[in-house]
Amino acid sequence: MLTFLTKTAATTLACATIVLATGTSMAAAEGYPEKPITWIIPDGAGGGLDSIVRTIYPYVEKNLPNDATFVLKNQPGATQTIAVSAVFNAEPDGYTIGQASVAPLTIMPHLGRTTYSGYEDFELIANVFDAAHYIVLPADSPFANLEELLAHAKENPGQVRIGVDGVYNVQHLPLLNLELSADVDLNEITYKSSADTKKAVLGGEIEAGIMPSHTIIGEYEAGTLVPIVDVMEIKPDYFAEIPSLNDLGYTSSQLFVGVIAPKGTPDDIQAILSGAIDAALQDPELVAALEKRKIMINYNDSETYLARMQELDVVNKGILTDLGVLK
Amino acid sequence: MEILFNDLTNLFTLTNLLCILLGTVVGMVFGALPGLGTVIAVALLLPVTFTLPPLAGILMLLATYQAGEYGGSISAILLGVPGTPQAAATVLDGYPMAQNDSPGKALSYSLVSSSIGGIFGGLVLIFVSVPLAKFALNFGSPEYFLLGVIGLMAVGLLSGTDKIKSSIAVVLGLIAGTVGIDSLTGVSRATFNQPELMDGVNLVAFLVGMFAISELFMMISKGLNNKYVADRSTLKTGLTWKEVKGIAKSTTIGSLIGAGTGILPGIGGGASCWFAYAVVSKTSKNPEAFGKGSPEGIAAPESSNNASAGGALVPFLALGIPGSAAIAIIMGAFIMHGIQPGPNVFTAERDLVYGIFYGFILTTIAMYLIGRLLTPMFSRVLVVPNSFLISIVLVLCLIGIYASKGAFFDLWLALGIGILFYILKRLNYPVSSVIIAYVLAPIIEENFRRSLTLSNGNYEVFFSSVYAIALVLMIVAALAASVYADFKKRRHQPS
Repeated sequence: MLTFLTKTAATTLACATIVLATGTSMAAAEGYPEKPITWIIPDGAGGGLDSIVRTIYPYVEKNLPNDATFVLKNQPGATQTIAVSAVFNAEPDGYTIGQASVAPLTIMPHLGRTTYSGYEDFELIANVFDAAHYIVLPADSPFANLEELLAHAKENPGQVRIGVDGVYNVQHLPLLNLELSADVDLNEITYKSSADTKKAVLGGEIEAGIMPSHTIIGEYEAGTLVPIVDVMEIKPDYFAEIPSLNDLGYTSSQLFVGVIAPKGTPDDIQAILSGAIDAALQDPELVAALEKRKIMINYNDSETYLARMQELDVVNKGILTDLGVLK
Repeated sequence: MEILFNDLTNLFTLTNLLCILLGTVVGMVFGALPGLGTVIAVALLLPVTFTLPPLAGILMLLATYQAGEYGGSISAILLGVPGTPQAAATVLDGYPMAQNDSPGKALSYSLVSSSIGGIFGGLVLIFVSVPLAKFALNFGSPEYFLLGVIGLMAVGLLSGTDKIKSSIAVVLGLIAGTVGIDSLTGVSRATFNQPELMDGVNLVAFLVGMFAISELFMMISKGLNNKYVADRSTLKTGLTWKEVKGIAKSTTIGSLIGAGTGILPGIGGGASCWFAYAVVSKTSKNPEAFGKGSPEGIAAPESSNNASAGGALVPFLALGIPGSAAIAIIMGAFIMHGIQPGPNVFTAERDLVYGIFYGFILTTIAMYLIGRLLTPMFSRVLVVPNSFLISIVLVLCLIGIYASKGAFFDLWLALGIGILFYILKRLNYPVSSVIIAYVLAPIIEENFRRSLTLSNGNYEVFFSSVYAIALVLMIVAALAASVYADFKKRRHQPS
């Protein structure tokens, strides 16, 4: 009897708890947001990614219920891992989200430089935009395309110098992967930024360099720089005729930037945020503003964003394993 | 010269002039606040420009940049704390002059030389930007390395007689400059697993700790109830013609060096002020006055940092390569309006580019006028008793450090650096040598190693161009001259 009572009580309690739990979660989503949401930007004030988020956020606010407002917080540094760590350490209550590229989620954890173990430690809300990076030659280059450059490099190992903007980053990994699969040895020269790489290519210090597509449009039109291959999968329309590594039979990488949240952020709040970002990215005003700045809008819902992240993580982990630097 | 007869009616609109005024005031005030500085002022105004016509917005940011370069000297002179890294050299003579002679005069020297430097930078931009930008491309990694070495040799010229202390100071600066992820191999160096140290020691925290916090300890130890200025007549600003003529040579040298380093992306105003200071102190007729309040010691770095602002626009407009951190943010305003700086901008955006050229001169004029207006007010700061002043400066510094990166870690870092430098100052170490070495360490190290990667380890790369050879000869000549001077001195003073 006692046992029965206890059992019933326990069951009732359990049921009540479940109802209560669902109830609170629903209530959270219902009134959400009740206070400003912090949006962590992994870039300094005035930087490229900072100004993109600052362009987008009013449109996301507009599409959120309850007069939502964002508080933008700049936490630059350490290849975005400072900002991503801040998201990792935040309460999963829907009041902290962060902007993140793929490097702090699929590269830095494998180098042992993060407190979190990878993208699995986050809720991936939505992807916002993609970027393309090209291998670029100077106008007077003896090479006309990638095949010629690789053929020359094969005969002269270590003699073809190519500039990248960092070590084991979004530019360096696809290049290393290309070298592995084409079995060539290029001399990679590291610069502080793509702007420095551009200066080195224009000044004749190096034979080639990798640069983001939108930074070389002027030079491309003037004929001073020649992009020969996109190292990322997605191409901008203004360079649509230039092949990607995939087109040439090698492996393209991916560079996409989206919004993440701490693991355990309630599903319904995630859905609200994802929906608001989707609606914002369809606002003709925002689309025009981003197009003017050559940003390739590419909204992915949570599921697609996660699938792309998983795929890229496997590739990057593989490259780092082949190089023997995996931690 | 067709550009001289370009239609300037686009430039003198009410919107443009108001934007220049607003930018100037914001830049000057932020530049004067230790730790905040030019980059934060420009970043703050960037979103404002999105709603403005392109020319008005860009001129506002350029006015902020220019005025910030002068503003940095205000706190450097009055408090001994540079508001911007580019004003660090101004402390050496500006601060003693303000304390011993007249703060008003010191600020006037800074304003006049900054304005002349700004005009010079503007003229360089108007007349020779395209050829200069192409010329700057000749300076590759080996040349940057050699320039860095020349800068480090300038430390020897600056620091006092104690060679051991000077060497220790340089080594400290070089060590601080190597902290962080090694950009060539990706290896962490002296980061103690702190993600905040991965990009190196935060420059703002370093400067604030070194100049502000250590100086605050000095002020406290000298007595809290002092105030700097007892006699209000020393607040008077304005220079006589004779005084202006006295800084003519140093301003010219400073402007040339500033514009020259400004056009080289990555060297920037932070190093150029030291180059200018070293050259002027070595070629001055009164070298013994340097470090004690020499007007030339103010004019050289101040003209150079404003000239470097104009210089930094050269590679930016002509090649799309931003020459300094502030210009990189100003680039955002261009991109936001769909304008791509680079080879086509002179034809595709003709009116805009010439508007910027002449507007840049206007920003300098605005800086001079507003500077004249505000300088007496700024110098009045010094009649505030120290106990108030210290508290206000400390709070501003802490805000500045936090604003630069949003990391609490940097506040502790600045405190630690402040304590270290307080001890070094009490022991009479030349602390300015530390900051020069810190600024130059990455330029020297990265470019040295990059050069050798480029040449697959062959040292001939450092003699591979006429520019490199010229720089090597300069280094050899400077070394020979100092050895010879030492030798002569020893012969005249037999032990």
